[in-house]
Amino acid sequence: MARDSHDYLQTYDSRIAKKKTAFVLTLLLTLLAAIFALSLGSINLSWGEVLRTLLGSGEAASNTVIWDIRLPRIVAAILVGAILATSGAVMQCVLNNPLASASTLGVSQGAAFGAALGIIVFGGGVISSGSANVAVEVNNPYIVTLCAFIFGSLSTLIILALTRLKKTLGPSGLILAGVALSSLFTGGSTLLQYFADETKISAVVFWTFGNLGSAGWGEILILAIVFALSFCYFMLNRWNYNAMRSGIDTAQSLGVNTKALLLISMTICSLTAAIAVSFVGIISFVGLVAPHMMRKFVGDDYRFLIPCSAIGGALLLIIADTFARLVISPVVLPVGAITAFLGAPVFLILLLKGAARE
Amino acid sequence: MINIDSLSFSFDHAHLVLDNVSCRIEPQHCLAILGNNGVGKSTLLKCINRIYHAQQGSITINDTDIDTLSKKELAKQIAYVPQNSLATHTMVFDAVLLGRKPYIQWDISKQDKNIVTDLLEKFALTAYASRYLNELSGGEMQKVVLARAMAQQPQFLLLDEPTNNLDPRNQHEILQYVQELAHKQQIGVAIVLHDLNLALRYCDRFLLMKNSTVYAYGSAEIITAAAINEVYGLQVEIIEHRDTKLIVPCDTKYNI
Repeated sequence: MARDSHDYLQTYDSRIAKKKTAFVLTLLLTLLAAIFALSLGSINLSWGEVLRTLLGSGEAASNTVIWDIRLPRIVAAILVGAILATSGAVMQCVLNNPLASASTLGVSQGAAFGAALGIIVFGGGVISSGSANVAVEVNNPYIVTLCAFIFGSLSTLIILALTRLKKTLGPSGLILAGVALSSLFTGGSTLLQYFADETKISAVVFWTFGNLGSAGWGEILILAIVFALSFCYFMLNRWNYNAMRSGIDTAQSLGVNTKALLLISMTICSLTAAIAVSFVGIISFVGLVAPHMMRKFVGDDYRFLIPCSAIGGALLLIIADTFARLVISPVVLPVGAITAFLGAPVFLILLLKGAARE
Repeated sequence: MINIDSLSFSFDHAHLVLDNVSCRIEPQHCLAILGNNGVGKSTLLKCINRIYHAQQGSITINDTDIDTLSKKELAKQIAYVPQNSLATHTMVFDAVLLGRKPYIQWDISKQDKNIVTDLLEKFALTAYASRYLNELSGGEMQKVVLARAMAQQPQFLLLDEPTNNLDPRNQHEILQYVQELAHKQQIGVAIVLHDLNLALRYCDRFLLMKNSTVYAYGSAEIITAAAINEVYGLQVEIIEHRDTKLIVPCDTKYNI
């Protein structure tokens, strides 16, 4: 008996070790991808040059390319990817729905509508750079963020109200509600654009494409703070999320305040997703794909799934953005379109898997 | 001891799901909560575990009002096994380990692992430690959730229809475990059951519920043919067999 127990304790320890290895490997891969992405573009730099520039001893030209153009873009990709992926992982847990994420529940689209409202009606602006020739003045970028948050949260509130009112809604039902909300907000955005002048339309349209180049160091600082705070909250509650997975009643009997956890988690998820959306536009499916990708390696254990999703999301977005920059260089494709191409098949596979299980 | 005193609960303030219910859950004893579907048995368990908040009456654990305890404190004293447990893609070891949740600070300790190991041995689950919950049979799953509940090291155990969907052998095995826990580890148990013969065999306290309130509460003497007819609307005959009562339904036609 004693030997047996020793055996599966060892199995447990080796499983944990494997999960840690998966985390470290993904982290290394992400670092490599980041350096790789920094070296590629209309001017190709060697890895050595990239590292020298990062360490502060690069040439003037590389300094401009790296510090002013590529690095903010890649750091934004890392942070936005991490934010969307962690919020996706958490939403999937608290809503007990493998298809949940900011973009499938209409949170992103709500935030997009809010941002369009901010730009067109309240005259807020976003910084735009990159290859497309859109120059919009920065009047008040925070009104856009605020509006994005308000409408992103509105989506969340409607989703939460639906889950409360109709307990039998089920995973697919919830996603259908997300589809309805998305269409509603997309329709709203279209109407707003119809009545707006050209500059504002192009600002909104360009922005709904999803563009990581639109975030400057100021926005990046905000994204970093938002990510750090939400990540801390998620990590502090990782055992609660594990308990939530065994059902609400079991979680409650294990001492989890499930109502508060659901409400606070969803609020944080919609807030962080809305902030990300308001800075870089709609980047869909990262929140859905990254957690599922990492589940393959670390399972459903939220101790590991939260940090691994963060890194996985960052990696995914770096790859998607680099692809978008390079595939028909010098034209930069909208990264939102690339992630959608990547995400839609995964979404369909999950849907089929879920249907098979039911 | 858990003392439930004049408890009333309703979901909508219009119709009472529990109406002035009083009873006790004592250490070393198994309380069977009996009654028709929808009479409030599961709700009573959920009130005791503070998943629902009763509007009136009080529940005390060893003279402490449960409302004054934090959720964590409560989870260290009362473990609850709901009617349906989700068979997720979780390993048995991890599922039982989750029972340590109220005690876990940042990470699991060696002690947590040892407790889980002991429980897996006790519930004959060692061979399943690395299997996933969604691969288990109903009987194995029930043992896992019971082991998880025991990992909370509770003084009281609340079980909601633990023998549902189990074959006869597993039904007896699970209830034997529970009875043993009560007698050997001085745990106070409350079980919602539908099988009266299982209740009579493994429990020593009975709470008969009718119309959301207590019809009778006490030891096995209260289980009479008349009481069962009143509570369930079922004609039965009670036979004594080796010092145990056996309940046999009479041959009556029902107009459905």
